[in-house]
Amino acid sequence: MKKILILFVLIILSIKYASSQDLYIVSNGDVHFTSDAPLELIEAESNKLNGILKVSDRSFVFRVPMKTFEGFNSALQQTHFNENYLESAKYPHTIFEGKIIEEIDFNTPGTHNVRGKGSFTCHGVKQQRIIRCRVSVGQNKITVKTDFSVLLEDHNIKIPSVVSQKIAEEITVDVNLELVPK
Amino acid sequence: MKKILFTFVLLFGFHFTGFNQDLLSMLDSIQSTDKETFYTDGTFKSVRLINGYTSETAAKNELIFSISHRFGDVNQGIYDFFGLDQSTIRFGFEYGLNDRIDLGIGRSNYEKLYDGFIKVKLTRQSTGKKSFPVTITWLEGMSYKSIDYVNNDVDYPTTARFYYIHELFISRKFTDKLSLQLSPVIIHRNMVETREDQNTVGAIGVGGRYRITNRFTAVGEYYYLLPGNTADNYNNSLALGVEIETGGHVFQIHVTNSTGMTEKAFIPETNGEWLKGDIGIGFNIIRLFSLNK
Repeated sequence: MKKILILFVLIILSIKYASSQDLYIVSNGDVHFTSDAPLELIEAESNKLNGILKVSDRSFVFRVPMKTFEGFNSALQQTHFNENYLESAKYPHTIFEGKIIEEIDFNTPGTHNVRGKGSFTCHGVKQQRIIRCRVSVGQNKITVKTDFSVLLEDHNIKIPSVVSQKIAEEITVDVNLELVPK
Repeated sequence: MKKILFTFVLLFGFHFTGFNQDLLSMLDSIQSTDKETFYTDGTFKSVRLINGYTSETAAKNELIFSISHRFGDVNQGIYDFFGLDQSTIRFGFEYGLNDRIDLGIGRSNYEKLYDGFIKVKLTRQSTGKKSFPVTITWLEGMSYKSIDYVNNDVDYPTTARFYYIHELFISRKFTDKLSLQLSPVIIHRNMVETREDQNTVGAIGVGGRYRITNRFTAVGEYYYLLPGNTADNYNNSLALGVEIETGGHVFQIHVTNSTGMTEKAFIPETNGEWLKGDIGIGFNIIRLFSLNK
């Protein structure tokens, strides 16, 4: 009887061990966006995206500080991005937080096409989104690849008519993530 | 015994499965924002506040073209069309060697002045890992007066036409809307009009901007002459205006009691008195070109 109990304790302890593998954090997070307007193409990227994925309930949170975006066509454009459009001082991060809809086996390597459902907050405006992405489970590593678009109108980002030909209403976003166990 | 162990196991298990912390706050604790340094940008809309400069420099490979215009004094009345009949202009270029050093040149019809300068950002206001409260920019400038002397018979040396400017711009963006700047300056003039005039004049400038909307800003600038002969005979320069920004342009319109648009001219040589109406309307148009591609 005692032996069985000890075995039981060991099982629980092993679950405890497994649960320490429950959390994955972003070790490498790249975001790139493109605004393809009739008169101007604007691109910028940040490699400062961070986030956590909780394997047991497939919940996640990812966020990127807006001030870390670089690229653009001029330094002034970057200043305008932060000052006039995204108001980065007021709304420092863009956050996507939610759950993966599909069940995935995070213990065996493989690639899955899944959907992440949750709230996407940008410029202080929260939108419910379902974002398709490709999740590759590897040895002690998970990579996520996705692209989606963001409508400026959805997030209350106003473009003055003088520059309407230079800024796209729909911004395409590419994300590449690498997650490792915490 | 069995029961005790069983509860122990249950508690143990519960502890690990029931522990459900909010992921976002967990993210905050793992990856605090203190690991990044954020340099404050957009302290001012452009390299020019009104008559004087700001702590901003042209970014790498950026060319800034500015045309400044000052009309005559409004108290001249209808005969001079409230000053609009007269105008003083300066046009200049500023080019960023890198994000912290820029070079500038300019020409003004005020005394047919040529001016050139170098601006270096010594420190940058930042938050996060490396936090620093102010941006300090250092300016070293020179002006050359090319206008003919009234009395052509006297043979003055060429050096008499040179002026030197040493200035620091200490600025801080307090909030998204409010930025203030302090700018101590020393101007050296090789030749002055009278024996009593100071060759070296010191002044302290204060200026700032307040963003009314994203693209519309109120600006002000005041240069206080340090006590001395110049301060007794000339007036402190005061300028008030608004800035409108559209993409790569900044359009500034203002009123000021100064005629000149370079440090040598508007700091120690301002004659106008605000209270007597010796103020003129002026504007600056600043256009930015990116030479990266």
